[in-house]
Amino acid sequence: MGSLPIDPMVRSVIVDPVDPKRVYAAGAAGLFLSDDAGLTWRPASGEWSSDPVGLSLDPTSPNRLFVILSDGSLWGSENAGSNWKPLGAGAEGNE
Amino acid sequence: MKPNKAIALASVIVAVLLTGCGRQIPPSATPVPARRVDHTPVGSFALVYDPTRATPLMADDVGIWRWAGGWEPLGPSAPSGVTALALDPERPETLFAAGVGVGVLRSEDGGQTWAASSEGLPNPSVTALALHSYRSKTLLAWVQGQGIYRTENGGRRWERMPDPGPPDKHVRGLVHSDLPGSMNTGWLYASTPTGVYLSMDCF
Repeated sequence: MGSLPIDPMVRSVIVDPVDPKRVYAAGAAGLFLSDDAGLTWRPASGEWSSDPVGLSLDPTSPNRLFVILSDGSLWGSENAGSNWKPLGAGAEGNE
Repeated sequence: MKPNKAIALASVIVAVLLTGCGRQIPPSATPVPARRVDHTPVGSFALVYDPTRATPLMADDVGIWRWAGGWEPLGPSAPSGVTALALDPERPETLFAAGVGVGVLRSEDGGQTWAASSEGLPNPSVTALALHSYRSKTLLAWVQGQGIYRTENGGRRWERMPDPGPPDKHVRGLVHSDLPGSMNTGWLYASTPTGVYLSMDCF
């Protein structure tokens, strides 16, 4: 656990509606996850070739995350950012 | 977040003004095809999850799109230049969109039509938009060069909040949290180039 990188260029931040201590921040330094309302952060990025710039979650299932990268690709996670897979035609098995 | 980046700010109770709706927005200058599922996102992106359609919605420089295995237009007249999206979970057909040069727009029909919802904002340079975590008619917006504005009637009228905002005024995202411990209804996170800032929502 630790701080966000210096000048992380954060573009998007979201909060888990069920566990409001859980916060996600996405930007040029990657995706980060906090379980203490932003006091400390840990990386939660996938194997991405570009920066995460947009971030959302399913409020009915908050571990289900979506990220859009600066290259326009959409990625999904079913386990709060532990694993990511690209979405879209032909994406299956491309984890 | 570094300790010096956590800020708590003063409280002021603000009167609510109820005024009329905004005007209808004409279709965007660039016509959006009625249905296209191969759109490649262009420019800046905003993402929000639509629980009714069980899919993400995305705004880019060209329009607003829903994910269906590819991006398809959300409606026939989606505005361009949107960099922030919000969805009312109690009424998922109610969407809000904002951007620099766009102001705030509201749709009551799931993105088929849009109307201006910017009354009270000093200019249309809105860089961030957040729905209150449990008050569905309360939204917060960051106006570039101005600060935080709030509506408590679903965007019909906005008012400037006394909170000066984070030290870094280049706010790119806002999100409201009902994390306990606030003096009022929760907390407000702001995302900026220099990090995430937290303010007590006590205004």
